[in-house]
Amino acid sequence: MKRYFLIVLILFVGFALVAQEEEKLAPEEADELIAKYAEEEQGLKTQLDGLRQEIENLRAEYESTSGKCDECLSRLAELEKKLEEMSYYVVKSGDWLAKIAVNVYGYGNDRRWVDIYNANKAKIKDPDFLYPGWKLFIPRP
Amino acid sequence: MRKVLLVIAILALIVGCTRYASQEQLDELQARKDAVAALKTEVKDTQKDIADLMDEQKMKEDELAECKEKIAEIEIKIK
Repeated sequence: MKRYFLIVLILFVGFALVAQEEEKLAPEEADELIAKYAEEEQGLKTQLDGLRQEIENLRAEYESTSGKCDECLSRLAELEKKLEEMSYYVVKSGDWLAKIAVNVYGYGNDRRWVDIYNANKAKIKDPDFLYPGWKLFIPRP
Repeated sequence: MRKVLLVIAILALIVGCTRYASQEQLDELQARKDAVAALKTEVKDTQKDIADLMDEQKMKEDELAECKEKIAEIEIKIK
């Protein structure tokens, strides 16, 4: 019985020592791991530099697009204002629909008085009678 | 009993003769591990920033295209 106890004790101590040894590193292994991590660190630094450069490029591109977008929005606002101004016509004394059509659409467009009439039917009961001061909507194609 | 003592003595000898990495090496190893972990996190964050920037860029380009389209429509109406 004493003998079995001793064998078990020896095995236990032996396994404990082996296990302890596995957790510890030999100097060569430590150096190898240090070299491996140093290499990985270098690779990551290079990758990071590339990514930072990419971010810089993207930011520059974004700034450029943003500037173009601002210009475009500004131009759009101007055009909308212009369109708004062009979309209405205030009837003056002596105006008739064909004359207004030529005024707003240009020479040779007198037949487009019908477009103006149709767009303002709620106001114009008779196309031959216009009243000065009426604000007529001018439809655009 | 003698055999047992002999075995224990051999094991002790093996353990005693094994060389281990110095504390300095272990500290350096830990420092490298930490640096690598920090760099990995930084790379991941930077990649996320890039993805966000690309999304923003795409949105800005869409906005620009939409604006140009509206301008073209209005220009046709004005002509």
